[in-house]
Amino acid sequence: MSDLLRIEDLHTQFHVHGGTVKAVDGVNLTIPAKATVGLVGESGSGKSITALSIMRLLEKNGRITQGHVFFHGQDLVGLPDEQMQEIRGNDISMIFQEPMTALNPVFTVGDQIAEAVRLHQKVDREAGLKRAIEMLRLVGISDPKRRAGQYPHELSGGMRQRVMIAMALSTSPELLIADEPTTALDVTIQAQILKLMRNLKGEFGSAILLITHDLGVVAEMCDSVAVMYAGRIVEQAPTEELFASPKHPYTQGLLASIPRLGKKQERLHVITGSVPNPLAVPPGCAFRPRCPIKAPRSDRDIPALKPNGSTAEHLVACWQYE
Amino acid sequence: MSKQKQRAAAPQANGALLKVQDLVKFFPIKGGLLQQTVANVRAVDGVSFEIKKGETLGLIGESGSGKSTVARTIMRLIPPTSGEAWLEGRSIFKAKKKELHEMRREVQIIFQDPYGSLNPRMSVGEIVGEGLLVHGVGSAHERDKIVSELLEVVGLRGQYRGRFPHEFSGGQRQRIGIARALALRPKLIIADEPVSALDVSIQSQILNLLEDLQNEFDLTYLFVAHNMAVVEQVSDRIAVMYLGKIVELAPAEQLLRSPRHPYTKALISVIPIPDPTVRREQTVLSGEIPSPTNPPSGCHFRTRCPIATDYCAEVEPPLREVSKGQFAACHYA
Repeated sequence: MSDLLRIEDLHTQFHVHGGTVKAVDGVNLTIPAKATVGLVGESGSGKSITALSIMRLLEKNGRITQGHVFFHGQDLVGLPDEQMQEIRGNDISMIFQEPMTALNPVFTVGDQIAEAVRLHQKVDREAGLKRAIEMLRLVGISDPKRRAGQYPHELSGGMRQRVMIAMALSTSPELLIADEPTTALDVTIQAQILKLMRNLKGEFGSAILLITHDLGVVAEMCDSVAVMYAGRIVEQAPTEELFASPKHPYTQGLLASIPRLGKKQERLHVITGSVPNPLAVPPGCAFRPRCPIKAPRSDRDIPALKPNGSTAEHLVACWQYE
Repeated sequence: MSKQKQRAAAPQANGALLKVQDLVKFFPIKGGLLQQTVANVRAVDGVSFEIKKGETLGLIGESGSGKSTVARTIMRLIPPTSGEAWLEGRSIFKAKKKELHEMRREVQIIFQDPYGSLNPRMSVGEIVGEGLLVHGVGSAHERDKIVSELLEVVGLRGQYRGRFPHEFSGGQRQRIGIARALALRPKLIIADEPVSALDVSIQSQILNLLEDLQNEFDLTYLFVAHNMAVVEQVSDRIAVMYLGKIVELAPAEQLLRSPRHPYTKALISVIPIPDPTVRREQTVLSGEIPSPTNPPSGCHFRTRCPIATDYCAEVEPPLREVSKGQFAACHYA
């Protein structure tokens, strides 16, 4: 499969009161065409900032300081705003955890989807609205004509998420970035949305970058997974491989500490301590203070992400395998 | 089955620390010129259960199921519409001011949001020690000592007493909330989504801590949450709520292994499992939870139920024992 998106040594920093936060600190990640890639990590690991960096939607105090984001071989970093605008929404779309932040409260959902279509596909208003209604039907909203005339606040959380998916897919993007798309939803509604995403993927053939903290969702949806910790990817592998034989101590700890359905444990595994203060990340491997291994060199040098597993596709960043 | 009017007789010596009977909580919706009640949100619609001393009962449900309202009503943070609750045989809802003051020592609550539930202007020592002060426990010096000990018990340093909530991470704040709940040596702790706001690696620390404290202080828990794997990990028995009612109640292992209510079955079948080799049949329910203002007639679940019949619209299924210790509210369970 050809590479659709290739992130190389991406660094994104934020200037905040008290210093500089290296939110993304040297990320390498490749998304093949039509693949679903999971990006997992805990709060503050930099997974959402990676997504916003790809989209070039960073807050004013944030900046890509280094690295490249190649989309079809074209570097999005440094692309003029007008060209980025073309790609955003047309070729790469994004959906967010809380649809209310992404939907405009004063326009009907039909108008918003139609607007997205019109902006990117140069069709007239009527054709745009027709497409909007068709998209609403496609994402499983019953009576789509009536719903198109409603405002976001008139819809439930699950329904809004469907609308956002409809809007994101209305331009048939090649890459869909989904940032915690089901985190705010109830389990039975999450199941509906995940099923919808799987079905639509078959229909549209978009690649998906799925950002989540839920390893269950990853196991169900993704072809491969990248695990982030303190701004870096510490492990990446095909999904089954990662779950069957995690190599990085953080991934191992994470997998061991989740309660398993139907398998009550005597005692849950614990990763001691907490994530480092983003303003004072330790030198060397950022996970070292919590690491049971504490491999030599990890106190000084940052380990590179490279094949150390059983296959060339299994990458890990840990000195113990050197 | 006709609704039986339960006599408010105090249960005696059956080992129940907490007994809840036919609990109902409606929130009125006011409207019109005269601000009259035009409808009711039937948040809790006839809930009964018991928790034995030393036991953990998990109360699980999706948003709008009424699980948090059950917790808050038992705490008397909000008044019930009807029903009864007893703590060791003493009525919670009928308790007068002084009795209630005493009961508040015995029942404590831990909240979901470790950011919003701690007063940012109070030091950790003041937060943890507030209950001691209100209940006039010990001298100032003795209270300081107790607070330091409590902080150590929940895995923080005693010296943190003088610090403020913003200086702590989410997991540490939840530990402070737990220390506050422990201060008065309660018998029952109601934990309302205590780990939902925490990252996975912190979640397991807090769950283990709650388990340790239960053993050390002989605590009884009502553990309210929406995450089934978390609830299973800590609970002896689990009650599943849907639209204001308990639809199934069983020992944790039994509920997970052989659920009997169609809602429980569907719920369990769609919980994502962190193991890509697991293949299973999923029952993806269509539609959403109906509005609690106007719940369906008969069985509340029937509008989304894969096996509902006309009978379900007419007759509400009672919560009945379907196998030993397992109760389900379904005509076909």
